[in-house]
Amino acid sequence: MQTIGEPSSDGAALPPPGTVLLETHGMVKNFGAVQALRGVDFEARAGEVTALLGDNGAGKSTLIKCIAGTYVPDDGEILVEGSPQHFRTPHDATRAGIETVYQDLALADNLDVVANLFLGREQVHTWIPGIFRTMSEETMEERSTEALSTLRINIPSVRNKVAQLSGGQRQSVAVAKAVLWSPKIVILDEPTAALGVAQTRQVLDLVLRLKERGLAVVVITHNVVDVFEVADRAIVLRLGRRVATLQVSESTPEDVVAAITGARTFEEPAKA
Amino acid sequence: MTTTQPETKTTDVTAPEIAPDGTPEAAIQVPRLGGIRISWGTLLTTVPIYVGVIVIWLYFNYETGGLFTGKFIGARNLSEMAQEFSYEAVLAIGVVFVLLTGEIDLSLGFLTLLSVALTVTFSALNQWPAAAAIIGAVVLCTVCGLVQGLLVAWVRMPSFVVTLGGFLVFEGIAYHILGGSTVNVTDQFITSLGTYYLPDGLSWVIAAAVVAVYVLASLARLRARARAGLPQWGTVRTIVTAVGLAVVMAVIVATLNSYRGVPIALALLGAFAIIFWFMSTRLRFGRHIYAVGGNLEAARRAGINTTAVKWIVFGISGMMAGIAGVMLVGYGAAGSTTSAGPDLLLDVISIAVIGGVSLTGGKGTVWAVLLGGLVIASLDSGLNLMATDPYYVYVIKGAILLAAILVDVVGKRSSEFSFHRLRQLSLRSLLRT
Repeated sequence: MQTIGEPSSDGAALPPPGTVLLETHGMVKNFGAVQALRGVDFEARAGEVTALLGDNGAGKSTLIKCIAGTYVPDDGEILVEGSPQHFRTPHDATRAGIETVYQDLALADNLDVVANLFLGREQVHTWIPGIFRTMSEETMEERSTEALSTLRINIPSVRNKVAQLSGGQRQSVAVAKAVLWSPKIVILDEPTAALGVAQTRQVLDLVLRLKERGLAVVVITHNVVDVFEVADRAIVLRLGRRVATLQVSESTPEDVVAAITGARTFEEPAKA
Repeated sequence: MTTTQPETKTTDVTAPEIAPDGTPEAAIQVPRLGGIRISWGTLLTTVPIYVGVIVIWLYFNYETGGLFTGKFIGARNLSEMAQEFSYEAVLAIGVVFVLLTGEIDLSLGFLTLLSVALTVTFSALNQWPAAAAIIGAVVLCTVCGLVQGLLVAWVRMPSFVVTLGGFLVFEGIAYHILGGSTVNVTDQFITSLGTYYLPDGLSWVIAAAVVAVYVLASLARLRARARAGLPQWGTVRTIVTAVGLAVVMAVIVATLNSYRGVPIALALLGAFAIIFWFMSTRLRFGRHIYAVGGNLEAARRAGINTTAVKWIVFGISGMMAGIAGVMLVGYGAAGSTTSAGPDLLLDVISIAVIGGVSLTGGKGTVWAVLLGGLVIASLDSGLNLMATDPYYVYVIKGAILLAAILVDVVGKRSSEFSFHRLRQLSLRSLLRT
């Protein structure tokens, strides 16, 4: 039943920080006459937060959906830890260690936090093999509590319904749901888009914690402030092409904005 | 503000998350009664129903003799009520799962009539043995449910339209089979389902067994929680529920035994309620039903086969309609075109909605059906005792259905402005000024 492995809050065996965990080469995706991606190279490193930036229609979402297995690219290759992958479904990507948290979070409001964390992967107690299995609530609750406390996510009770949680808490639960299955790469789609100041802080702290744990974190965002808060590198797409790669520590917000709008051309650094 | 929460494990002391108003976000959100957690939603939706049942009972009792001496709360009337309405509640248990996935089944009334027609055909006209007749009717109705489910789940036709079509199709077939005549059924087993009673002693044994199983299962659960080091918030609730269950079971059995005993139909209803409660709360499939109703997209992305879930709930609904039809034949020892129909559908939907099942999906329990069933059964029985004009009965039932849906809709909207948030808001504004 468990194709994805046991949930763990310690994280899988991850390579040392700085190792390239995920890379794409020459990704192409067309929708009819529209060229959404025109040969995009992308890479995300362990223990780093990579921001993926770009204006509307730059191809951010398309790229992420290809990596997450939602779209099948027309050309190009995806490598996870150096080995080529062919994702046909989101499940394939999950199996390869890529978890994606979409903007709509995909939480069921009517279920509690535990039920959401284990949705579709409920832990069971087997009474009669293959015939009679009941959900093992205690195991799930214990692991949920553990996972949330490792990520220092603060929720009144793991038995609270998701509907009762604040926006930041919901985002945190969605991230915890992704991390529960020990992925190597976590992709967050606009994690702070709908949040207030304090809740944004909460989620950005969580992103930093994922980084500390050695995961490769990819954050898609519009928000330049967020980039300077958490990201190590920023990759900027424009009209389906990668136009800039900025070391955040050596850049200014003006550089980033200029890259996004195309006001300035950046020299693409030679590939690592 | 920070009332002691036993869940200290989730609250990391080293990194307290602070909400904008300076209060920890872990602020308590549920009112507590001696360790029992009750959400405001539950308070607002179930308490009025309990109060409503008591008011209805006292009113009818007053109207039929005297506040505490009337005919309504007499063993005989209650016994008849239980017998007469068990099949409606059985039907409602089936439709709850359809409603939980956010769909609706309008064909239930005539699918039950189809089951009636099939049962009398098999049993009375073809002299099949009881088991064969029952299985035949139930299986065929389940298939009817599955066919409708197929159209909803796989073809993605709106369930409203599919089951409206089923409504007409089943009506036509059932009327064709029955052809305006009343067919008497003499099979003892089938009639026993609607007219016989359990022996007094057996009822007590069953009641005691149910309470014992509940207590043992709860103890096992509490022990498992303790072993896993989880907070023991369930202790008081478990004791209260166990005592409550024992008292309720004892009162029901004692009252019914003082007349003729517990009707077999009621015992059947109890058995179905327990089985489906177990399915909906303890099995993965049950969890998936709630997930599909709560957020279809989330369920799909989580790898749940949402199509199969929807398909199967329509099968369950059809199966329960089949069983209800058999019980109905048993109750009347006969079947005719007046046995079931659209009125039954209205009653069943009302039972579910009054019991707190949301028509938009994701919210509701099997127990709710028993509560809703009690309201509808009491109304029907009381209005009947008072010899109320049947046209008024329709008006009253319709009004109650609307009221129940109103409570559901208003309740949902009010949860956006939850009590907790209101309190935070006011605190925030106080701190600023």
